Amino acid sequence: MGEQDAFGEQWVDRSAELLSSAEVERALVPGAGHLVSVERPDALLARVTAFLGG
Amino acid sequence: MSVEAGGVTLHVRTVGLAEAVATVITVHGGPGLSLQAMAPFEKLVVPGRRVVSYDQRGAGASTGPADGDFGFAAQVADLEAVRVASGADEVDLIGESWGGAIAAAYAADHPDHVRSLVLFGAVPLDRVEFRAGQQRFLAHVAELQTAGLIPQWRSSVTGSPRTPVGRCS
Repeated sequence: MGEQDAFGEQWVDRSAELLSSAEVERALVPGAGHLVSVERPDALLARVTAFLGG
Repeated sequence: MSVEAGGVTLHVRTVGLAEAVATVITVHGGPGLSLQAMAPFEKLVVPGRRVVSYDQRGAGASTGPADGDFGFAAQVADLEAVRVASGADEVDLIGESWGGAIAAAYAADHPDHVRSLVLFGAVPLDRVEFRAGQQRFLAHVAELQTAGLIPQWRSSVTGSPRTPVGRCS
C-alpha cells in the first residue's frame, strides 16, 4: 500500500485477517497514496515482480 | 478479445504468449476506471508469463448490464468468465482498491483457481470509515487529475455489494 493512503494502514490488517488461511507479505510504498500504480508504478512493479518470483 | 458474461460483453486484453505457463489477471480500481490503469503490470510479461486485463462491466470498452447489476456477485462471475476464457486453471490475481475487493471476493469463492493474490489500496469494509477515507481520497484524486496522472471518471456501482469475507488458499 502507499505510505500516504487516505484510507489508512489498518485496512491492510483487516484484509489480511479476512484472508486467514493465506501467507501474507506486506509492503509499504513510500511517496504514494491510494493509487500506487499511478503514483509509484516502478516501485510497485518491482515489489510485485519480486513477489511473483521475477 | 471479448468475453460474454452475465448479459455484458467484457473487453479483455492479453499480453504475452498464449502457451505461457503462468497467467496474471489484473483487476482495475474505480469503480469506473479501465484496464489502462493496470498497464504497468504488462511489464510482468516474460516468456513463461502472460498478463490478462479486462474492463469491468460498464467501464472502459465493456458494455454495462441492462439490469444495473454492478454488485460483487456479478463482478466475481465476470472475473471467472475472464479466467475461463484465458484457458488458465490457476492464476495470479492483482487487484487495486475496488478491484482488490473483487479479487479478494473471487479468491474466497474460487480458491482452487488462485495461485496468489496481490492487493493494494485496500478499502474499509465499514461504511462510516469508508466515507471518511473517501473524502480524503477524492481530494487527492482531484490533485492527480489536475496533474493529468489519471482521467476523470464516474462511479458505476450501485446496489449493495456483498462483503468479501472468506479464505484464500
